[in-house]
Amino acid sequence: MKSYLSLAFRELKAQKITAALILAAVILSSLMTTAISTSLGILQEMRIEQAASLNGNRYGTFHQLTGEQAEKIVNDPRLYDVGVILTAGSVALADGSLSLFTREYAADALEAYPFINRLKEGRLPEAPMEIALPENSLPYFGREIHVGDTVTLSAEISLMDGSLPSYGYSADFKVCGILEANYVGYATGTLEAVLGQGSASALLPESYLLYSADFKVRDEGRFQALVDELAQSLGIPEAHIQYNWVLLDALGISYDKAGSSDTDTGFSFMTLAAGLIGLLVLLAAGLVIYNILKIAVTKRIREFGALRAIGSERGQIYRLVSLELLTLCGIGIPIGLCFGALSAKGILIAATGIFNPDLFLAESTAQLNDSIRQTTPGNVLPYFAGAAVTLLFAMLAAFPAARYASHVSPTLAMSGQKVTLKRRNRKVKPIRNFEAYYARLNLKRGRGRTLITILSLVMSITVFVALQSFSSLLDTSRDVQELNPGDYSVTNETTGMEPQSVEELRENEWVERLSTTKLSIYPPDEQGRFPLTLDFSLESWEAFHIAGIDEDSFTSFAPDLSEQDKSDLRSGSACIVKNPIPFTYEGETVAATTFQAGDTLSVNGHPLRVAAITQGAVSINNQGYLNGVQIIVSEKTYDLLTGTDRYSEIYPILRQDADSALFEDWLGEWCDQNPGSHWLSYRQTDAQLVESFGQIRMLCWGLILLIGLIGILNIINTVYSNIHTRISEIGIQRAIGMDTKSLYKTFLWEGAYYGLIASAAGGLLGYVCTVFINAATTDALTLVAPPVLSLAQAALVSVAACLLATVVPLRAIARLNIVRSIDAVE
Amino acid sequence: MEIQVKNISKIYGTKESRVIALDSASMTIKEGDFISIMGPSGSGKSTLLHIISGVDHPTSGMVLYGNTDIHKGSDKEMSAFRRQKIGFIFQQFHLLPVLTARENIIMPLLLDKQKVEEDYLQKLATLLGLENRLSHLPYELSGGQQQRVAIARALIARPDIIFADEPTGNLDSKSGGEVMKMLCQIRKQMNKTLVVITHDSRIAQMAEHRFTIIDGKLSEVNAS
Repeated sequence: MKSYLSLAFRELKAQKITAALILAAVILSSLMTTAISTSLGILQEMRIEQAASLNGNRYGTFHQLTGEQAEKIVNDPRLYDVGVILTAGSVALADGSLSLFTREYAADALEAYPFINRLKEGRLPEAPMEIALPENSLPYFGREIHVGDTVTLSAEISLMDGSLPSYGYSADFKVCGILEANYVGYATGTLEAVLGQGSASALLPESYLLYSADFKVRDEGRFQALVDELAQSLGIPEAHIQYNWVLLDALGISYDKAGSSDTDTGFSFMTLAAGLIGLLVLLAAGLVIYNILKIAVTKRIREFGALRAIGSERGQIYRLVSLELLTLCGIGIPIGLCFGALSAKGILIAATGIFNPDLFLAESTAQLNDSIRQTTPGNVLPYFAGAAVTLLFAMLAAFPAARYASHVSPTLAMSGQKVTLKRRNRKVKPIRNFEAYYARLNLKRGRGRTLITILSLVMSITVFVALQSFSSLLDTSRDVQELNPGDYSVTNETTGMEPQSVEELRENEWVERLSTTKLSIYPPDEQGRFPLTLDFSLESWEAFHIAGIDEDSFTSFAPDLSEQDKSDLRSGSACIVKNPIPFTYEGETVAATTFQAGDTLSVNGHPLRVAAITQGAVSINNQGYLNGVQIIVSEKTYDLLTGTDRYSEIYPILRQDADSALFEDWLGEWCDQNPGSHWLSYRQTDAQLVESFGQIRMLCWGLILLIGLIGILNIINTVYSNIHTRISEIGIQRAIGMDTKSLYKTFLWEGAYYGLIASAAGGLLGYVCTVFINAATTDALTLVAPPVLSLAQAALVSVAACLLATVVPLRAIARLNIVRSIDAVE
Repeated sequence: MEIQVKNISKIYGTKESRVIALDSASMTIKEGDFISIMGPSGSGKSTLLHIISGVDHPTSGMVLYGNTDIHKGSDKEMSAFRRQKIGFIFQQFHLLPVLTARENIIMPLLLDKQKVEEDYLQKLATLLGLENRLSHLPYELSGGQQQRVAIARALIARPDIIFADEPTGNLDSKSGGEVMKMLCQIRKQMNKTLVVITHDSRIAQMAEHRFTIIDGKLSEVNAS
């Protein structure tokens, strides 16, 4: 023994349980910090991969470009990954429910769309009039299609600004490849076929040969400014700029036309929330270390007193206690880092292994894992950060205990005086349940320890509840999923569907609910007249639409409707208006009819107040919008204004336990009985998107598990210490007649109180966090429904953990000889 | 080195809970003296010892080691003073349970970053009959052996003065007698000043100067 500091190592060896508990806390906290920091990188990378795969690996697209404009974009040094696409037209499939877009992809443009370019068989087109068809388009050709076959496609192409009439053609294509099916495209009712270079120029008049250019910008901070500069210098109208908001949101790139609510707060908030959760975890772990060390020091207070008496300085005692913790950190942190790395890797492998790599732009899970591992920034940084943060928090946690030890008065420590207990409330009340009463008194005797334990548990519960809300923030797929109004769409563009048939569908045992749409479009006749009496005039090119929607769908078009507006819409005295899409022709903006909220209009003599203006329009069959004015009213008002009560499109949403195969059989028969009706399923698309969210939830559960362990560790420590520092007292209680059952009850009550108090406080704090997380998602601070399930789970697990932590050490003590228990005072 | 204790008072609490533990105690301890302080439980004898040895502060009065008032020093100076000038023997031994007897003995040297003089350590062990017990942990030793280890610990840094707070209080009469015998023998051989607190009159009578303390008031017996 060369230094007094060796005493630290001897103490660690001697106090195995204390050392083991602290070591476990250090391991868990370093594991947690490492797992969080590495998982954050992985999560963000997965989110980006997922976003890129859902809507193309591009920041935006300029549409309707001339060849000259496209070339300038390709050569612009501020842009990269520019992919030029030439649309040759769209082919209506499945009675028009699906549109098969035929496009030429110049150079590497197809690489941005891996779900399009993945071949099932054959090869990608190389020559004009060659085509690669998606597998899921094949059933709609009415015959079996194989590589090498020739297919005749009747296609149509329209310009976005409507400056030219749509152009239709029919042509034969040689099928050179079959592309793998991807159901993500179903969300927008589109399928993609790849044409060989030179096909479009062979098929289309020059005025229809307009290009689209996908792009990314090098300076992401100046994304919007660069887009604006390019649009201005090349004369690209705003309507021809498409922002890939799914990817932009995931990357945290700001842009003017935010397509998602969390654009500004999205990832920065996610980082903040993750940081907050990480901080809570560290605090919880810190409290564990503090609690254990404080108890350990208190138990050895006489030793420190003796050391002080024989001449040790305060600093020396401080160094002794700190060295004990440093030693444990030296052992625990590397172990924690290893486990953290393994858990992050495990979570990654588990998450990606069971999900479809298609969703992440990868051909296989291995490729996905490699891709994520390679692109996850700072491979060493998370480990360094994990170690540093754990060490910092551990030392901060050790400081009060070390200070307490170094400031102990030698006389007090050596005098053997017992801790004096204070009891404020000494009212004599009848004691109904002695064990519960005694447990409450015991909780008060070590207020600091009780508080710390409860606080640590509260933090674990808060994190548990908050993480559940937080995980939904990471779900990019949700935005795309929301595009689907139902599990299926059933459409009839010709005669419409009769109300009694729709009722029959609504009453089907598998159907949970239906969304419905009625739509009538009135293009002007040659004299610019409409078959309706309108008290306003429309421009010659404008069509007039009347859409009737179910009352539940009003707010999806106008979220800010007042109760009065909704009431007026239901009663038929108000409408929502979609104004025509503005466009320019030969450099000049074409005049368009424009309504504003508060205006009044009349249709067939029926006055309607404009309750709101909407940017979205009601359309059916995934078709585009025939430019003009659309008024959206209730279904009853629609019937009144149009004189027809037939439905154009309905969206059944099935019960969770529904047998979709049986329902689809039934729906097929239903369509046969309703001529002109046909259906399309979104269930596969939704299932695929839900699956992609599943892996994000799984990562969060990994974190929850670790946080729970830290909380439980603190309970075990406190309960263990409570029991072991009261062995003599327990002996005395038993000597005067307390039976084992009563002894158990007392300590179990203590455990239950810990769990119940922590559950209540943690639940409240978790709910507050949920409100704030919700506020960050919706940009409005509103009270949300309490996450009852999460709260109940947290409360149940907490109480169970407290009880379990009590039972185990208590069993050993209850078996101890009474005389030996009493003698254990010194 | 002469120690002068001048009008030491120690008062705990205020108002109704005010307790005078020591009331203007004064005494002089000369180099090589063997002093016993006797008194009933709660009389203030331990408080006096703690104040003289520098582990506690008086409410008023001073303790001079030579010309130095020990209570005017910083914590660091006080700690160094205790390490180098004073040896302490406690009633309950206060050995560190995780350290062997040898390690417990050398602890003051380790705290003072001094080298261990093996010859001196062996000499002390022989004097105290601990030659074969140095590698034992405290729980492996009898009460008397533990107290002998504590005596060796008190002597290892060659202090001028040894304070013993009821050194036999936790021992049976045989062990207690042996411990006191050894303590006296060592004091003589090494010419140390020894201050012993006790409520055992037989031990008190072994001292050259005997003091009693009752209700905080210190007085010398047969001072003449």
